[in-house]
Amino acid sequence: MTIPEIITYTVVFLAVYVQVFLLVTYFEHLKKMKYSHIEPVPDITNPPKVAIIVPCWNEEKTVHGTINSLLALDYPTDRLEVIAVDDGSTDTTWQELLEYKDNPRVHIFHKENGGKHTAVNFGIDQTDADIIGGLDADSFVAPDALKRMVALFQKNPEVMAVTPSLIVHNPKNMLQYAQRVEYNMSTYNKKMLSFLGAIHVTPGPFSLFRRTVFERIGKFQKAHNTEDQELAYRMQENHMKIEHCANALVYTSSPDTIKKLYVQRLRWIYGFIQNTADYKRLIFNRDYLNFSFFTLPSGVISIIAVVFLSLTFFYDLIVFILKKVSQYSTVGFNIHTHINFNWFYINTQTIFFVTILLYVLLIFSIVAGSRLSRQGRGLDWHILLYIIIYTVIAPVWLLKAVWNSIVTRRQPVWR
Amino acid sequence: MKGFKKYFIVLLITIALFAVAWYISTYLNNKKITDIRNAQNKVNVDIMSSETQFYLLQSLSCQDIGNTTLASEISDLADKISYAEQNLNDPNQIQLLKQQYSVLEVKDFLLTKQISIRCKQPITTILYFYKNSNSCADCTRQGYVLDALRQAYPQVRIYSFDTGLDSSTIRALQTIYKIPASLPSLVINGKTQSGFMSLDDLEKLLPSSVTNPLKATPPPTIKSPLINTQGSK
Repeated sequence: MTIPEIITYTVVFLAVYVQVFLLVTYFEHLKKMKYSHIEPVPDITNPPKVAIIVPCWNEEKTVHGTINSLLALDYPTDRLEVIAVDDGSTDTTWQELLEYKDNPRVHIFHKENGGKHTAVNFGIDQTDADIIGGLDADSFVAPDALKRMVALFQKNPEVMAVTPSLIVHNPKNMLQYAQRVEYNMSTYNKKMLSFLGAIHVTPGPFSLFRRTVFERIGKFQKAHNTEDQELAYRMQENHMKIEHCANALVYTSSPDTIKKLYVQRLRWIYGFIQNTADYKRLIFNRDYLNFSFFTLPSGVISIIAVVFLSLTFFYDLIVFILKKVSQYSTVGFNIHTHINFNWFYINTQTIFFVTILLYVLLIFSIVAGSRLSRQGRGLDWHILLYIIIYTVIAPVWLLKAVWNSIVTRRQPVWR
Repeated sequence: MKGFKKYFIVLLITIALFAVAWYISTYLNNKKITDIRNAQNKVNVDIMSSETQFYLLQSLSCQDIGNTTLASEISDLADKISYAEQNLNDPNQIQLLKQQYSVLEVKDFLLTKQISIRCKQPITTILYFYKNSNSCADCTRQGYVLDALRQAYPQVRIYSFDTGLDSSTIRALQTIYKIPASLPSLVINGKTQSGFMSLDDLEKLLPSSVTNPLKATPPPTIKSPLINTQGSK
């Protein structure tokens, strides 16, 4: 066995291990999830006061939709306030916000630009609510989401934060349909990590926190443009429980071009690498069992796996192209292609079957995530679309993020 | 499941899944090896058949002599050995098959020459000596040329020999035709040509009887022996 083969088998073994770990978790908690997709909206007694902060920076086109979706939430009106913070926009966002100045449920503020986390922190200072959340101005909330999430806080006093399921809003092109599939898989992963007490990110769109979180461990901090992830790391370090509410849905705008998607993912992956490096003391630390032995290592493994496998793939591709070029330059275009369908030529190496197994596990996670987030799409052809598109483009931002982290140390832009 | 117990159980499950994948892989690979062995037996029969034809040649007229072409499964065998060489982990078995295949090629080559002389049928033969290693970049290109030549002129009989193979038969051929150490080398109708030859160069060396291939009625040919006429992997 050659060294590349040994590395390939090791990487694939670890990738299968991660998926099996999630699968075992899924079956451990199957009873709890069995009816989550048809679970009625819970009744909330003594509803806590909730404040949702909407940080805005040049969001003139979407801010109305975002705030209106918050005002339409199924929640007692006197227990919900919206705090919109214009973070020094250079477009007409502030003028748009002024339309809410007479609405007693909406409080609008304007500040100099300082980054998203400063706008959210500013909003936190303006409220005395028990539950505080944020909502990016490019996202919309399902009316029943807040009640479902608050119910989790009320059910368990130890729950310090609740994250929703993110759904791609109104996908229009193939890239967005592929992202919708990815988000479904993310819902599955997030829910399993929730059972494991090992969630590593509280996404900007509609993650809710108890006020005590900010009082005990502080507010958002500048953290490589992934402040929502850093806060989750800090919460884990302080043994604060983060739950995922799979049937609370938040619709978010997704990048509609490869370039925009590349910029977003570069920021995410770079942020993960940097935050993990900042909190490396948590890796393989017995005090933080699943977070330190599963979440963080599996994230690192997935990056190494994709980087290694993609480099191998591109190397093989280059060798193949060079061979074809050599063949063409030697004898010209040869139309006599020999195609043999004999079973003998089907790949029967162990790695082939294991790779198929890995794909089956990934498809299972997508279908299960789709069911958990009430999408109910099951097996549709967009899964194939997702696999093809991400196989080609995901290695690019992963490699770039690793390159930026190790070599250039350049922080990716927000968008 | 609490603590590290779950990590251990998942490890066992993952190992079990890999073991099942390995078992299926081994089972199917063994089937492939068996498949090659069966083909190898057919090769042996073909070798004996070739030898018999040598003897028959002495007493039969040219009309009675059938094609010396080896069975079509020989061609399949060449492909399978080539594939197995790259994908199956049984190098000893593969080397043995390659050696036997080389002997078969030489026997067919000799028989072809005999028929050509006895029946006054000019048959163009090319012996191709290559090396399966990175040190022979031109072997790869020469392989492309010979593949193209075989497709354009199916009546030309091309025999490939991997000089890296531990075969006394191949060594004997190298001595007879004074094959230099630098490869690739071709022996076209008995004349040794050293170094890479383009398709144009080769076509110029072909006798006029093998021109206009589209109208010719090609006798069945041996598929380039081995295995990997490109001479490298």
